[in-house]
Amino acid sequence: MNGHLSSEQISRWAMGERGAAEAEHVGACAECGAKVARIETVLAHFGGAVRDWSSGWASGQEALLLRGATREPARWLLAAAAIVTLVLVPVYWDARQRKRAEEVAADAVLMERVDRAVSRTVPETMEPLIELVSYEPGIAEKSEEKR
Amino acid sequence: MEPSAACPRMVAAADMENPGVQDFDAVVRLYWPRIFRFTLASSRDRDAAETLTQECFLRAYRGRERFRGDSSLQTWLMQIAINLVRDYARRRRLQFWRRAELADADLRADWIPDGELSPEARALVKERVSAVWLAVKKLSERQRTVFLLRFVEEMALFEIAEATGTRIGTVKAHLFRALQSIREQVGEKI
Repeated sequence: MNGHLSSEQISRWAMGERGAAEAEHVGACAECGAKVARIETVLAHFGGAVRDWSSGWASGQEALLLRGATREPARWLLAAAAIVTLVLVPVYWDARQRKRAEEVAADAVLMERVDRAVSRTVPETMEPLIELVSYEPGIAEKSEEKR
Repeated sequence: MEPSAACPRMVAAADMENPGVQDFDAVVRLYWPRIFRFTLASSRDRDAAETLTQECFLRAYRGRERFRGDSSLQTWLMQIAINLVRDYARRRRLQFWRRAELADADLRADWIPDGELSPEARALVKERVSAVWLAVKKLSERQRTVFLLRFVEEMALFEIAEATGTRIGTVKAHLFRALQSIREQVGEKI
């Protein structure tokens, strides 16, 4: 092999493509040896740096995934909850309507009582007396006829 | 995991020391860091990386019955992750208004190179690694993927070809261009 390694040859060396002639030259030439050693070192450190960097962030993430991966049972749970809701809602609605009807009926009875109390012309204790002196059109007409 | 007798390929996959796809918890524990690392280095966004990794394993879980053991589990998972990263990159290109908002996650400043290096040598290595990190960002999506798979995941060229669904010659071409581009950008540092 004549001359030093070209830029392309150094890149190919870094990729792992090393011919016998190139390997022999790198072994003999300090300059090319230093060049390939530098690129190999930097790439190795780069890989190490990225691995080290990501490992600081990756811890504990599996738990998140395991939750995600086992999402199917959760879906069944949701479906079951939906069915229970579908069954319970009409029952609850019916009970609520019945209670409301009872309240309306009770209100009506109360209102009737209040109405009766308010519409009295005399106190309750005087009602028997009023009944005795109450106007009876038949009697008056009869006395006028007698006259 | 008990390998399925009905699927000989599955048996072959289970025979390896890695867990079979049916033992999904073990698959997650083993491959999560690796997939997360790839999505993080590709997206440079921690939230996106978490989402993409989760999505990757979710897709794998849903499609686990379709895994026939033609490739290794790692290659199969990486294949899914690569597709997800590609879709993410496409979406992000379209969301031009978000580009300004998202600050790229950077390599940890407190990272210390391995080995017994002098403080000067450490500083030099850190400087060079940072320069490569910046240069990788400017690579095309395909070149970046191949570069990260080779030099971070340390995958063999044929494994990268399987994971990316391309021929080994194409992988070599992308990797060569990636290296040339990085060396041009970084200059004398590499």
